[in-house]
Amino acid sequence: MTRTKVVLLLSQIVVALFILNYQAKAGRDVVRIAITGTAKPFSYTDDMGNFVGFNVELMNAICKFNAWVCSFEVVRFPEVLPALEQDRADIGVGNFLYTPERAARALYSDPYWRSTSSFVGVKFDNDAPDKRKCAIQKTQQAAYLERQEMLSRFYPDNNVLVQALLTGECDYILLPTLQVLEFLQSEAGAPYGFHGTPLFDQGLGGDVHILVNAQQPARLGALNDALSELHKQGVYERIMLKYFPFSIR
Amino acid sequence: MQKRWGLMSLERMSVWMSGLFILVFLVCLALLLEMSRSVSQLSANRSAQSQALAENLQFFSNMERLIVLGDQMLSTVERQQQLEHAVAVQALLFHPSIQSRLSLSESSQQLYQRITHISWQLSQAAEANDPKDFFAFRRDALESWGEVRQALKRISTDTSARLVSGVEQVSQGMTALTRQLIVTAFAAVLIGLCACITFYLFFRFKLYQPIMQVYRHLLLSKEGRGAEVPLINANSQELEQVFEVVNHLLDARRSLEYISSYDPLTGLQNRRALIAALGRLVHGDSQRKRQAALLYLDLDNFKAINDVMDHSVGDIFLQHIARRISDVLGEGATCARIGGDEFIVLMPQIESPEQAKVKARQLQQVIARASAIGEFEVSVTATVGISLYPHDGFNSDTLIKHAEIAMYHGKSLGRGMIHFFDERMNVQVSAQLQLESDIYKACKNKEFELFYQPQVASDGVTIVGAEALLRWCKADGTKVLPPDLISLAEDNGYIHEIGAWVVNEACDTLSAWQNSGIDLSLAVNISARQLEGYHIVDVVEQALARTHIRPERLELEITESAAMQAPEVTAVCLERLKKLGVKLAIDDFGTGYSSLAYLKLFPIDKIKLDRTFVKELPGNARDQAICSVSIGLANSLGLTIIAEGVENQAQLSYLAEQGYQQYQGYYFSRPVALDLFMQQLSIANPPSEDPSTWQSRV
Repeated sequence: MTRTKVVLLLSQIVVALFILNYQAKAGRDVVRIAITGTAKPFSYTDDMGNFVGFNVELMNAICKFNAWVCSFEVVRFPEVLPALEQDRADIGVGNFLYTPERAARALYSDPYWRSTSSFVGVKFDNDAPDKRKCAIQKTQQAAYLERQEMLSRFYPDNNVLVQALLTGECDYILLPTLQVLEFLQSEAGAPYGFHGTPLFDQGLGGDVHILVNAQQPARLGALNDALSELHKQGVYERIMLKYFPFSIR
Repeated sequence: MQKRWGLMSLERMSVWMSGLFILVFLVCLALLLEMSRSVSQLSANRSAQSQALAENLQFFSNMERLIVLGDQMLSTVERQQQLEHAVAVQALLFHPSIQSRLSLSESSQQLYQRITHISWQLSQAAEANDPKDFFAFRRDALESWGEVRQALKRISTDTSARLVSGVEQVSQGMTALTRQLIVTAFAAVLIGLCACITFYLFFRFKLYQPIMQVYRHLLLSKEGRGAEVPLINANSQELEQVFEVVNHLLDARRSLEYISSYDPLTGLQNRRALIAALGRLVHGDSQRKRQAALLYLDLDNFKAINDVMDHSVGDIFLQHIARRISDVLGEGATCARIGGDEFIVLMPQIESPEQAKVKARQLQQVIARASAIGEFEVSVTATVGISLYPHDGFNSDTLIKHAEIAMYHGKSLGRGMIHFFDERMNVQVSAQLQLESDIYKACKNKEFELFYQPQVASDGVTIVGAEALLRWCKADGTKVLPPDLISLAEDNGYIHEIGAWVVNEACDTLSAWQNSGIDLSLAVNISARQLEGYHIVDVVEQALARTHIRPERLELEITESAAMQAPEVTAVCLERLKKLGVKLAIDDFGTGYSSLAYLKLFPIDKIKLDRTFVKELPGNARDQAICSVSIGLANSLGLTIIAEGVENQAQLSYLAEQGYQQYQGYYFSRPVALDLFMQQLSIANPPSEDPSTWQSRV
């Protein structure tokens, strides 16, 4: 066999292997995403039973960009980080603010929106020390309430927390400002409003991140590249403005 | 100045070039670093500016969105929509994108409170049952919103202006940086280009051109056209040296080529060049249509000039001859000097052999002209042998050999002749060459022998001496006649060796006689060639010293004609021999063209009357007169005279009457071997006789 033919054959083999590898990789690369399911408009089930939201659509866009096959597993916020630690999930989405403790347990993506925390209670109500202030378990807001030694209670997710406000179990609830927007804009939330100014310090505000399994730094890199590219392409802006009346970055 | 610049040392130039390249490299590196720094700085600035612009844009966008939401909040009367807009406005007001800017100008707290109040007013208006209350609340809300809106708009506009300014600054910064980068890149490219051009010029003019000059010069020199590309512009000291060496080498090669093809003395071609020319002629005439001639010229008696005068005179004379030959050569003909006094003229195209003969004659004429060299006037003749192409041969060796044979044939018949080659000459020359070879062997193997012919006193009986004559009996029994032997020996140079052998052999015989008490003289013949160079003097001196004989017993005979060939040389040689104490005799007296003045000059002791004057005695009157004159001359000069060729009593009687003291001839004895001679001696000169009486008879 002539040298040219040998080279051609080898080239074809290499290309085939590359394609197969790519395809195999694409076929096998199922990404497990642990995500909260009751934080409207970030991630929730709509009236049609579809799992939608800003975070959901953003993750779908990221998976599409990286040619991942993403599967969403809805968990409560306190269970997201353990799922990553126990390798039951590859990516954790729950509007995570940065804390050193969390950074030791998972990898933080680039920030993708900015948050503040707000107290929500009955409009024009006056705060008092005996007022019960509630937050979602294992959140920065919960940690804040504990630090302030306020009379407080903690609930497993957004819906339960709002329900506690509605039932009067809580006088005020403390959670990310944008996470309570839907509730305040609803009829049920009409009597309620923001109390005081949104809180930014003491870990209650700042950049929001996606968490990645600590054993998958390559996935983190791919995730950040996707985020950057989605910003450049304007995909992020379109998704954001679909769910929010203004830019949340 | 030009020369100084052009001849800078390559080594120094290479140092400069290296320095230049290092400098260019450093400059380009510096420019590259500067560009990198600028780009990095730009990138960093851009990043910061982009971040700031993004922040401002985000702020501006959200501010405008805030205003729009507020407008929407005030413009709608539907309660739910108002609520949604109001909440959105509140949430947006405290978004970090707004917060970081508003704290600089307007208190966000105040805005929040005012917007909250506006929201309350709108909600009150929505719940009012009285239209007046509705409009009052709405009016208040509108007024409040108008003020808030203005404030927000001012901030938004200000932000917009800052955005535009920021973009403009970035743009300008980009432009300036781009300009700087372009200039830097251009400078780097320009410097690099200059360096490349410098190197190119250096390479081309200082290295490539000179080296190519050498290459082309060497290439063309092979074809003899080196002068078309002379080595003149070295452009550096080192290459100038190279040029010099190359020129020297080429000059040396040309000299070698010249030397290998030309005779350095005369400037004529040499044998090698002649053979090459002949070869070209033969190879170029494949159909044998051309006719050419080879003229072999040998100068007659040239050796005498060297021996008598000086080799320098001989050299100058040869140069004269060469010039004369060259002057009359004619178109196309060439001449080569192939030996000491031998020349070959090649006539590459002749119409007939007669043309060659005419040229030969012309050459002889110009050669025969006398040359004045210093105080001498020199002239010679030339013998010419001619071979014709293709008649006498098809290759150079054969043609030269045949021309030479023709020349030698001419010499043998008499010098100054012109002879065409004849196949019969080949036979003669072959025989002659064979004889030469035999002589050589004879010398080695001592095949020569001396025969002795007695010389008798006037009583016709008593032997007073003898003449030793050379005989050669070859190994195959063939006897070679002495004239042939002597002639050939003189031609091939063996005469000296043979002559030395004869002298030594004669001295050995004399020594034996002396030891035996036999007091006889013994004569040996000397040829004219033996007188040249005076080698014979050394030979005789050494023989005398070796044998310790009485030198006066040795007699050396030289023919009159031989003596007169070069009288001056003869005189000098005879004087030297005389000083050794030997006796000298002129043989064949009367046959040569001797001048009496020279006869007086020669220190001779005896003359030998030639046999031709004895043969017809006593009947021939002329011979009688000659005999009479000869004896008279001898007596007058105090010389001993001996008559040769006495064959009968009548001759003897006549000569005795004339007063001749000694005789030699067949009448007494032919030349015999030594043992036979000794027998004759014992008979003619009995041992009882007083040896002193013999001496008086000699």
